[in-house]
Amino acid sequence: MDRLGEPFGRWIDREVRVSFTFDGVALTGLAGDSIASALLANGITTLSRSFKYHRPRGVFSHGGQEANTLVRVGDEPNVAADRVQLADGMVVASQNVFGSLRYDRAAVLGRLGRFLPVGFYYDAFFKPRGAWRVWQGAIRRLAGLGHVDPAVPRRDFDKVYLFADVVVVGAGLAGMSAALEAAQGGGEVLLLDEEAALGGGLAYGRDDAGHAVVGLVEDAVGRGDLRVMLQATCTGIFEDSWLSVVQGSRLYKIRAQAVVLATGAYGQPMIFRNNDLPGVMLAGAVQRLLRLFGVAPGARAVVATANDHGYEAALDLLDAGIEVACVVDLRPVPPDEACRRAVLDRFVRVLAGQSVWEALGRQKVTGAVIGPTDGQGARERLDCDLIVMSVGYNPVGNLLSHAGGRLTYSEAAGSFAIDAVPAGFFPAGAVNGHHDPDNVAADGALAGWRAARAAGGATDREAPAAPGEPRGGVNHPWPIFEHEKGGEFIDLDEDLQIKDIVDTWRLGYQGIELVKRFSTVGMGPSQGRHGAVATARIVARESGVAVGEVGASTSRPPFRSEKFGVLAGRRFDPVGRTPMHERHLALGAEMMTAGRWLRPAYYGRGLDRSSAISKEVSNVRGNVGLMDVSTLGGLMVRGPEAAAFMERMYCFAYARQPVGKLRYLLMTDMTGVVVDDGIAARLGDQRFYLTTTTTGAEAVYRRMLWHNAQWQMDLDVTHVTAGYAAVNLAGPQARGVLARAGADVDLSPEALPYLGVREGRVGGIAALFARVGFVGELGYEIHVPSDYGEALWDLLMVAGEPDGIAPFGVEAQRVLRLEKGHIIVGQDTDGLTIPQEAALTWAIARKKPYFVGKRSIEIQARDVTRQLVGFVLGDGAAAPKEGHLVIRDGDITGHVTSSAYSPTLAKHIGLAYVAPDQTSAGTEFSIRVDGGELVGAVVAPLPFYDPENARQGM
Amino acid sequence: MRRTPIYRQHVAAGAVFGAVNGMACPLRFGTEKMALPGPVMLADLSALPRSGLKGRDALSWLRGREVRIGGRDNIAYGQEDGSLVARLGPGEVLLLSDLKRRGAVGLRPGDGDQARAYGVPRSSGNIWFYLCGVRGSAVFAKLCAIDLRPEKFPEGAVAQTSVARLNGIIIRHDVGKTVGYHLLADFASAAYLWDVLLDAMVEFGGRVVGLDEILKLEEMSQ
Repeated sequence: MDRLGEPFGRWIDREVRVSFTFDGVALTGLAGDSIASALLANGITTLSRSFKYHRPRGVFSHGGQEANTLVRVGDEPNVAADRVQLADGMVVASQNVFGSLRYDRAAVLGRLGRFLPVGFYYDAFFKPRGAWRVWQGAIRRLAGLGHVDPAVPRRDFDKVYLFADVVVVGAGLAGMSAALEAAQGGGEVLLLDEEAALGGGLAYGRDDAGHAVVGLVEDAVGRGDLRVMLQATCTGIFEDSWLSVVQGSRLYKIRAQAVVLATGAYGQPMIFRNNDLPGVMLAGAVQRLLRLFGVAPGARAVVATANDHGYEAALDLLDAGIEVACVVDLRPVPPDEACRRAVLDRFVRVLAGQSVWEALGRQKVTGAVIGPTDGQGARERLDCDLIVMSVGYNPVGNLLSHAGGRLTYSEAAGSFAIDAVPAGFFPAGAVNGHHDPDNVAADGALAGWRAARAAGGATDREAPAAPGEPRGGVNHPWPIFEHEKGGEFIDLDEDLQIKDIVDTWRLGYQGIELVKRFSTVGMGPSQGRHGAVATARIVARESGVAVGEVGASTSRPPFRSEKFGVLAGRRFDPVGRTPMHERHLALGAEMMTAGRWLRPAYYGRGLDRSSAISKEVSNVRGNVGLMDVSTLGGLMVRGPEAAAFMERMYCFAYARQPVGKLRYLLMTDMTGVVVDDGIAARLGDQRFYLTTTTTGAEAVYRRMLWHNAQWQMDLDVTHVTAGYAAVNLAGPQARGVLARAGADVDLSPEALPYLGVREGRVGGIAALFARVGFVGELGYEIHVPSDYGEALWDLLMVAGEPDGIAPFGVEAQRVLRLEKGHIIVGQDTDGLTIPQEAALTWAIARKKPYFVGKRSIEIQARDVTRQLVGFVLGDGAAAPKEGHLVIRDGDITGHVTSSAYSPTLAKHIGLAYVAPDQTSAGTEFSIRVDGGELVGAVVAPLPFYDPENARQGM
Repeated sequence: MRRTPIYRQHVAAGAVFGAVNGMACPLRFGTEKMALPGPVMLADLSALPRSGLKGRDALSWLRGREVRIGGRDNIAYGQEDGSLVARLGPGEVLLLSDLKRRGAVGLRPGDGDQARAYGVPRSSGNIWFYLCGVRGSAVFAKLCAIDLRPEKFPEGAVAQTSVARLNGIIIRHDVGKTVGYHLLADFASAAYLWDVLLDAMVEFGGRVVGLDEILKLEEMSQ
């Protein structure tokens, strides 16, 4: 494991060795290494196999910008080996390999390339009919990158909100300059960067001029003038300057007043035959490996360049003792810059007007074929194991696009350039087309000053000097060299070559967005970082238009891949528990969810469900049961116009509802559809206490506020669901139990009859007593303040002990109310049910001039197409489930909404929608049950139980 | 005796209870002497008196009873008896007792009904937690989208917002020199919210404290 001597290897600690394995082989790296640098230091150049052809792939950008370096680390797939720091004990493995990384059996697909044209899978595997089922398994095994292990233990991810006046994305020279200047404005400044250290390109660049800025930033951080977040990736920008920033397992949601985007520029590759082989690298990757990790990326290099930066990379290689076989300069007449002269001074062969046309080698680069850029003239073969490219840059404009900015191709710059910038955003540095350090720093400072002002910072500070014009000559206009044998890769992630883009265009997909969707160019992990410009150029050539007219496809979040764990984060799912929750658990309740609530389904966890429910039903019918109904929504409507408001909100009549009486509530929306029901207790002339369905409270409350915002009636609506606990004490012994519990109101049928309501106390607890009949027995709903809920429960359970009181759950209640023929809104109604269909016309006060939904109900009453009826099943018939269809002559006429065995009636009963001509008692109809069998049912009059209503009126 | 909905969590955590306002209130946790103030402390103050009033004339009705309420919404106005009256809107207030329960904030059902000032059952409808310490706002940053840092959310500020997807009322109210926040939220979701807060506090070394420890903070500053 040889390393270059200092000053190379800035980020590594040569004294601290780190052990890890790669594909089962024990290896050693150094503290500070990336996984990729450690692998290269161990002589491993192939890190993965490509997506489609399983070609060997190695370090290309060393910036985590493409799929080349994706490996599995432990149980985590798709880890970018060139972004993640090596850790002791890491178990690293290659992905997408059949056999071994070196001998991948699936590499045979590369030889079948001509039979696998772009988009071949759109129609190749779907004929004949049913073929996809055969192909699917094989294709899914071959495609994709990495595997998710469903057995991976749970890990903690969370989300945090952050706030700053100015956020600077990118801590290179431009970003640091911007942050320092913005901090002078006095506001909160947050500087963030993906890397583990400040500096961006300064960290590995040859120019030392900007290094002092790192120290200034560190000083500013020390003084508390600004905050820095490293290894923090801004993955997206959303409405109102909302930045999503991922740092480790945490997603930060950052709100900023102003944002400086100092996101830099991506080095662009040359397009030539076999340009994907391990050993072909961008100049930035080579400099990172040398300066940050002290790793020699090769022993003999060919450098292809069209700007100074290629010469600087060549000088770095020479400084590191690596032979540079040749520098080929794509420009016919390169300018006489100092760095070029420096290379020449070191007796390196420099050729102008030449390029690399082909990389040689199978597993990695073993040579390069160079020749004139115009394709004319002889080509030359050079032995080398490293091909370095520096032919231009493209601005990292992704985040700007997320924010609403736009980039268009600039013929002058030879790259995309920012064309429109949204308010509150300030691009700076290389993303703005600046590459000269002085310009970069000046542009950053100016952006920081502007951002501080936009964020309301100090306005008296003088603006920094504007940068000079961006220096040209950085980007080559056409670094694409088509080979007669093909194999020039435009998108390494998707294994797309020049011919694939051309074929896409020729197939008729002639817009850049269509090219992207058909060919999938730019849809891999690199998201077009290296392929977008070349694709636009090829499409422009085929179209015969300028590149600027082709444009670029839209960039959308996320900027980098995000883990599912980060997206899921710390989930917040509020759960509602009634005050008696612990009592239910202690009594062995099997809990169920109802909206946000947890409710007892039945008592007898682990016992037979049906018999447990039947037992609870029988106890209510013959004895007395206690049910927790605290989850019912609670609303107070109070004020001089409370009754008039009720008249408008609900279908029934309330203006003359006597104080001390209950009345059924039926709510419809403006289309006449049933949306909720409940009970109104009139506690005073101007005071109503209402219940709603368990899941309907919030919606009803919202409806009331919404309507009264328009009506401006003199009343107040208060949502008090959580303020009160409630129970339903039901059964023939209920009165005695309540009396023993210490109710201080007269419970006699004369004093508190069915549908009566009284305020009083029970066991000293202030309570509301309401005579209800939902389950069809003598029953009291008792409402008390929530903090007394458990005490009330205990009180009644003790008082009911002599009568054999037992709790009953939601399931028993469903059976009880079904026996009584009462509907449940949401179960026996759907999003289209009008009252006439659900046999609820009795709950409509027709003489009222208005209530919400009245007009719609009247219109729809003329054409009712279904009606809810009760039914009984014949003996031995298979029990239908809720949702099973009512069938007549092969047509659907309705469906079952409730279905249960009635232990009271000893038969199976239910509710179902049927056609209007099927509603007469005794009418037989068919229900299609599981397996397609048709079972016979007979319409029965409702209620099934106690049709005289004698029991609830006891 | 009334119980806070997270009574059993307090029992499991070793709470020492005392009767406060007719409710079993955790006064301290464990048998050891009370520790020095930590970076984050969480207390369940649900035993303390509180109430609410809303309606067109709620504010004037209270002002007629010499309750001091200023002209701005989302501000908690301190009263002479140490209680707080948080103005939630033009027609709604929340009344919180002081920690020593000197404040007379009890409203009976029906109080003010004739004057268009209607009682809200805050005592049984809302749990009342108190989160304090130098990292208190950092805990909230994991649960809530509002910037609650002390320099941005001053003493007396009120935020009616979503806390871990639950409607909550947050009131900045320092105890002595310790930055603190009252948090009132749905009574039925108390266990959920308590667990969420405990989880969010872990990374800051947060701990659960009782009413006595909060009172001690107050004493330490005097």
